[in-house]
Amino acid sequence: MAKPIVSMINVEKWYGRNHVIKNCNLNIMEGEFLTLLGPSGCGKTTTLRMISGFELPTSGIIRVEGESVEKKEPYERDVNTVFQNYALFPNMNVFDNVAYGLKVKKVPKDEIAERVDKMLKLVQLDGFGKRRINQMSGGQKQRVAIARALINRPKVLLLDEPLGALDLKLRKQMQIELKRLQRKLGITFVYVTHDQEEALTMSDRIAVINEGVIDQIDVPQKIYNHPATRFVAGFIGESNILDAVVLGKNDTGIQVGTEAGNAIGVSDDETIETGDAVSIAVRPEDTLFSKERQPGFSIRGVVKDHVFVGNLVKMMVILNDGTEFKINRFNEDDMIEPGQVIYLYWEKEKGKVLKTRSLVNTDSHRDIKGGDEDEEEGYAAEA
Amino acid sequence: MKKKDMQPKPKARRDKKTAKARLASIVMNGPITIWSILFIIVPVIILAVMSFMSKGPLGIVVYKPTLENYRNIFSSMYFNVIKESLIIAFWTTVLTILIGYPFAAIMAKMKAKTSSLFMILLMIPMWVSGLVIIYSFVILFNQSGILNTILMKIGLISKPLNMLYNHFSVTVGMLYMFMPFSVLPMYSSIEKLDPALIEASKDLGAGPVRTFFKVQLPLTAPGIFAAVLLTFIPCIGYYMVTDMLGGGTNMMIGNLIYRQFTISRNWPFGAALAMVLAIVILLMVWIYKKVGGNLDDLG
Ligand SMILES: Nc1ncnc2c1ncn2[C@@H]1O[C@H](COP(=O)(O)OP(=O)(O)OP(=O)(O)O)[C@@H](O)[C@H]1O
Ligand SMILES: [Mg+2]
Repeated sequence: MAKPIVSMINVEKWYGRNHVIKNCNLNIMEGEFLTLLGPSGCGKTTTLRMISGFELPTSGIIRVEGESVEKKEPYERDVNTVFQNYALFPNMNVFDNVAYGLKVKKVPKDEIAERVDKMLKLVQLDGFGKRRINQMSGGQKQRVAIARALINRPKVLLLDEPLGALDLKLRKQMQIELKRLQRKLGITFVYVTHDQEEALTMSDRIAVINEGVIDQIDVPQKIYNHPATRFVAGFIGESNILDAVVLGKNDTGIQVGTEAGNAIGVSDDETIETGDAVSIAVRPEDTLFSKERQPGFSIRGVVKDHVFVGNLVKMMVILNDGTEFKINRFNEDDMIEPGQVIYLYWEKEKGKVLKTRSLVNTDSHRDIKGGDEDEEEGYAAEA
Repeated sequence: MKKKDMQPKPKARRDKKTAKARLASIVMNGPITIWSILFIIVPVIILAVMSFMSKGPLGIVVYKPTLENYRNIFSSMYFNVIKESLIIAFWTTVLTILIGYPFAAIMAKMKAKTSSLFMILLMIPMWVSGLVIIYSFVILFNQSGILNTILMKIGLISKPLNMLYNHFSVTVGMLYMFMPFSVLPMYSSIEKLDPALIEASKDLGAGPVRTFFKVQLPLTAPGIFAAVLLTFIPCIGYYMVTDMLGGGTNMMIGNLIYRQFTISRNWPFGAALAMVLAIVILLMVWIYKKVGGNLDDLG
């Protein structure tokens, strides 16, 4: 099996009185595509910068290939970074930018020329060597930045939101290309994003970070289908999350009571006991409804409205306690007219019972998503 | 007028807007244009014409065209003054850059609060009368001045050093007067430099020295060029320092020009000197533009 190429052991980071990274234990495996995913300000960049050497951990150990690197300067570490806004040298042309790392290492001239040409071909910038940086488009700059880092054959490539400044279409295309490059070269990628879709499509594993704590680290399917915390359930995909108390636990599932009524769910967490304060999360597409009460469920609501969004119909239900509950269907015929009273239920496997680990405001991810879209528009306009 | 305002005709309104804009631009630019014609262009023309006239008895300008003044400039005595002032200006510039760049770089790294404090300290020579500052240098460098007294007290020297009225005192005085003009443009270009570029260089394996010469220096070069111009040019023409700290042995072109208009009362010759100085300056600005400098950086 693969061995860890980067290990972070009990790493803590404080900025003044701001505790930014809290007891981080992370093993990054050789050759994997690991994504650090989390909302703005959760500590993704800080984590990357500690690996690359631009920030020192307040305490803890960071190992690259088993060797402790905390005392090493950035230029002594065998990792390379693709910076958020490319950080290409504007005083050099494309060739010189890509060749920079090799020139530093005093690689012979003809070998440099050969390797740069090969690398430019690999990122589909054949013949762009003589171009000045300010004559390149956003997507092209991105490729130069990737080529400049990859040509050094780093053990680990760190990418800090490398596609954040590109428009949606280019972004999708670059996602595929990056994945292709990573497979082809077999280099370990540590990728930072706050775009969950990007994380789900590209990664071998995802580490979901919540205010400096890695809430869950697992393969995308597991993250999506088996969120470990309320935060992960709310951050990855859409979820309806209700505060609840465990009423009972048996072979058929966990019975919980919420302010709006009772429900049934399951949990991967065996430590959950009757009386625990929990959350129950269910995805809009997994939520079923009927005119009658279903056994084990007593959540009742009034249909508020539905909206048609492309291939999807979204229905909003107001529960007894005033909470809004989302339901998604592919077919409008499956929906119920506004004003009607319905009972909600789901297959018990679809209801995830999660221990309330920390006081996390699950609504906050929506604000952040809103901010994202604005950002994208801004960047698109710029490009 | 008011009636017209009420009519909601979009086109008419747009026409009015451009007319308004034009009026605004005349109001805004008019006085400046008149001012620069009156006080810059007209005097330069007068000076240019005067430089081709002859000097009459008692310092009267005689309107008889001649090239004599320009020929005179290249006579050995005057040429020596020009050479001398270029050398002083050169060393002043080199030293202000060498001292100013690290100073600017350190300031760019400081927190905003601390850097603005240093900025104020740096600006002092610009606010305080040059005369006062230069005179304080006389007190400092005198044979029985503060510096000599201290050096002798601690036993570093046995006889007072000759620090006044030579190249040393002139250069130190010039350095002090021109440091802000040198540091400010360099500070602004270092501050504008994206720190990610420095990090990118280190990330690619380059140490601090290489990073400085390959990335930081080339990218802040426009600031250095601006600093060179802002120090070198005024330095050539600045006569106060050489007058008081040079003791008449060191003259700048500025001193020479000043004397032509006052003591020697040879206005046409002074005008010719001023024209030569102006042409040298224009040439330098032109070179600065050629190497890609931004004129706005010169303030
Ligand atoms: N140099 C610094 N000094 C002080 N605080 C900092 C510094 N850099 C980051 N922080 C703080 O550390 C926290 C984590 O920042 P970080 O840049 O790692 O977030 P991020 O997850 O990369 O966010 P984003 O998605 O917005 O880039 C934030 O609260 C930020 O304000
Ligand atoms: Mg970041």
